[in-house]
Amino acid sequence: MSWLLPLSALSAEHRGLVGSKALRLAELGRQGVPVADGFCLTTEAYRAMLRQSGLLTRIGLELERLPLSELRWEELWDTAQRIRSLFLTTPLPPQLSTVLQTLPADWQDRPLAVRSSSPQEDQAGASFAGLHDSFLNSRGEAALLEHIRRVWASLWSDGALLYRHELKLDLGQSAMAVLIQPMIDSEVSGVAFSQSPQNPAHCIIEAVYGLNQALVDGTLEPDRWQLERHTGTPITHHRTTHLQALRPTGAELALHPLSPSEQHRAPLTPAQLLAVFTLAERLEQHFGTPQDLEWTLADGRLYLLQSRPITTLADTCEPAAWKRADKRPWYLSLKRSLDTLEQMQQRIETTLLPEMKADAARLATIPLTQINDRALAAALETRQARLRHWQERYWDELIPFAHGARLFGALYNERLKPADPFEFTALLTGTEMAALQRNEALATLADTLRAQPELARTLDKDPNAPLPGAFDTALKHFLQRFGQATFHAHALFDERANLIRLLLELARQPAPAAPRHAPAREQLTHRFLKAFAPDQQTLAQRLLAIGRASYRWRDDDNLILAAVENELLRAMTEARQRLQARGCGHDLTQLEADTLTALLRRRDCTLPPTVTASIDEPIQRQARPALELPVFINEDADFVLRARQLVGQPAGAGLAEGPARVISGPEDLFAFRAGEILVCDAIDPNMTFIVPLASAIVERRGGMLVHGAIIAREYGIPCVTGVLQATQKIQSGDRLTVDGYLGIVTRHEPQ
Amino acid sequence: MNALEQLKTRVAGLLAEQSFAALATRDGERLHNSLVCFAASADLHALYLCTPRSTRKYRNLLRTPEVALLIHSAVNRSLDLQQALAVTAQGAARILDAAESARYSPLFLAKHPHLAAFLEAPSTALIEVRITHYDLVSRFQDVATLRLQPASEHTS
Repeated sequence: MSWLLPLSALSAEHRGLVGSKALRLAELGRQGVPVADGFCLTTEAYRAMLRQSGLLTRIGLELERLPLSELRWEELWDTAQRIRSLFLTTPLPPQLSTVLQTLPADWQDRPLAVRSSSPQEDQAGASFAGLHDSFLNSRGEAALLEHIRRVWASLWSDGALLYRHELKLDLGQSAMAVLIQPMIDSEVSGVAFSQSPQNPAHCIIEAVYGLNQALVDGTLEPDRWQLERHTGTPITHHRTTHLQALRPTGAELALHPLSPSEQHRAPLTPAQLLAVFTLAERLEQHFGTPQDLEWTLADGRLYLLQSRPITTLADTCEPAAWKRADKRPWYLSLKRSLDTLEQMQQRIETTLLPEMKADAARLATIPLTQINDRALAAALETRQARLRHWQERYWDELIPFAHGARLFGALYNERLKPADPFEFTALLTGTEMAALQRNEALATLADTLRAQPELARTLDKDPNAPLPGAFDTALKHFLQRFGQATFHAHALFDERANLIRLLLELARQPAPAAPRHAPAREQLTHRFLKAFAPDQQTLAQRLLAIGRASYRWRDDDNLILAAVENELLRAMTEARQRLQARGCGHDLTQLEADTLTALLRRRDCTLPPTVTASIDEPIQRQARPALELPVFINEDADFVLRARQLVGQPAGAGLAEGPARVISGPEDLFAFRAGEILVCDAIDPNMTFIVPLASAIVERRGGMLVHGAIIAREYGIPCVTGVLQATQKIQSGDRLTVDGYLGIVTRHEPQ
Repeated sequence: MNALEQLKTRVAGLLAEQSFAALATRDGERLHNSLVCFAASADLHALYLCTPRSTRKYRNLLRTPEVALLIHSAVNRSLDLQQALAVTAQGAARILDAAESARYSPLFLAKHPHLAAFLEAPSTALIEVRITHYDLVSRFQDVATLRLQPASEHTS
């Protein structure tokens, strides 16, 4: 058994056992490059863990649950989180402790660095920075064991699952080695590219005060130098305002303020810069290819932490589907540190969303009926531009902020190791989500109808019947607050009759019970906070706050965006009315804004075809190959295909049976009856006003943190997401059983 | 390839690749399972198997022609739960007469040439199961039913 090998003893024959990072460091150490001593926990230990604990099968079952190629990025994160949870909660091989006791005795009191070293990167012929985890400041045996678990788990990180083809990630073959070294308490550290990816004549060096992790994970902005590649002459120096440095603090790492002199001094002197450059050049010469290295300075000495070849990802082998729209780097870029997320939250809450709201309100004040056709055409263009602008902001700033809930979830699982890796979602429920406030307002209006059966009967016969003053006022108030909802490019509450029918259906049901999540939320919050030491309580509170804000804005931002869209739709409605009056013979409801604008200007009724809007994210944002699911044809001359049982993700616990209502357009929303099962391609918070009527939710779009899953948890109803082709395989009226514990949807045979 | 074609291809692939099926027959209230060799018609409308006339399954299907056959690709590993494909074929069994046997024996023997002597024995019957539907189970819990159109049930 060769579980633990000293770095100095590694040679090429150990490649599969120790991975490229360890092997390269060993080789460079022998060449006289300053590297820290170390030991490598080989892939044998990882394999023993999988074999002895039954993890191999459990990971396999998880990976095979749905085709990985068909998972969206959120589902890949979910899958990685489930696997991570298996590693966190499965007992380690008993021999591991014994083996680690053979580490040098004086390491017991020293902080260690625990780094991933994956043999898969050798197979890929490329380096994939940031896919696997490394940990600093590991103190004591318990922490070391915990960090080894997490490094092993990171073999199956979401990033690794994204690049699984290139990594040739395979359950039977792939394994992870762990490099264990005394941590170097860095004064300054950084990265270097011996050849700039942007300009082959340049070398790039970046540096921060303190540990490198803050630079690598984006917490701190580094100083950045471009140097002439062949001489090392600095060409540019981008100075940043450095106020903090990441340093070991007890058993953790924390940002510390820099001294005034450090704040005003670049992290590297010219001589140190030249030393880093010389190291980078030496490594490139040694390996014969440009290198991406991490280095650190301690006690005036330069150490190499790791070196790997620079490979632009575009050069790696890619399945054909990726070539069209590979947005995986975009997905990986979504990861943010707590500090960055807090800055994002600040911007979202104080600038972005208030401005979005104000923009919609400003557009709402323009009296569209009173302006001429030319001005209306201009208004249509402005509104399209505003909507595009806010949609861009949505993708570029609001969606990345949704990472807050995932950051919180990962940390919750590390600290509490719950059996259910999505237990953390219970702590995020119960925030003041706008969709819930809207639903409460609807419930209040329904209460009025329940209390006035005569009025309900009148409206049941004629939903356009005059309303008594108080109810009319209440309804107008509701529309003022929530009337801007849109769905599939339709203003949802434009027709009063639809809203009245919805209220009548709500009123026919017993008054809704209070949300059921409160006790679990409080208990779990208490448990979460207790898992942190007294001096870490602030950190715990910050994490919880960012998780909750992220969870809430993930839902609310859609409603605010809809208010902007609603203003475009309002202008489109006005345009259609004018064109109808003018006698244009088209089906005007099918015409898009561009077409309507052109018609208004040219007074011409011959126009190009339109494009249907989609509420799901654009394919290039999904970080998966463009899906080429088979067209769902279910009949030929010989056979009829019927999906009987469909598998997805169990995103909301519970079991429910009822008739399906497939939502294809606004008319399906207003035809929704109590007890029906909501079946939808992708749930949008604008449409979740029917959820209080629904007995369960089935959604094609997958994920544990998608809108469908969020709202189902709020109402305590079962939810299954990620059901491929759900809206094609299920028809309205089909009798379904939704098993939200297992993620299974069963279609019953027709009677 | 559309979803229906894809599913038919998967079923056809499994039926071609697997030699054995677990045949379920019934004697009144009592159920009986037997491991049998089978072959499928190219159009998937029928499965063919043979059995000595003295067997319990033969007696059972004379009395109750409705049968089910389970065909699967599990190889006794835990990952089969997710990776194996299982098809339950349901239909009505019929003993073929001499002329029909002569017609369908080549199809059966093409897949099981080593059973030539067994099939040719006077005591052996060639049985045709006309399929009403296939239930296909993949990924542990994903179930689809492929039902023969009523007009196709008696054609081949």
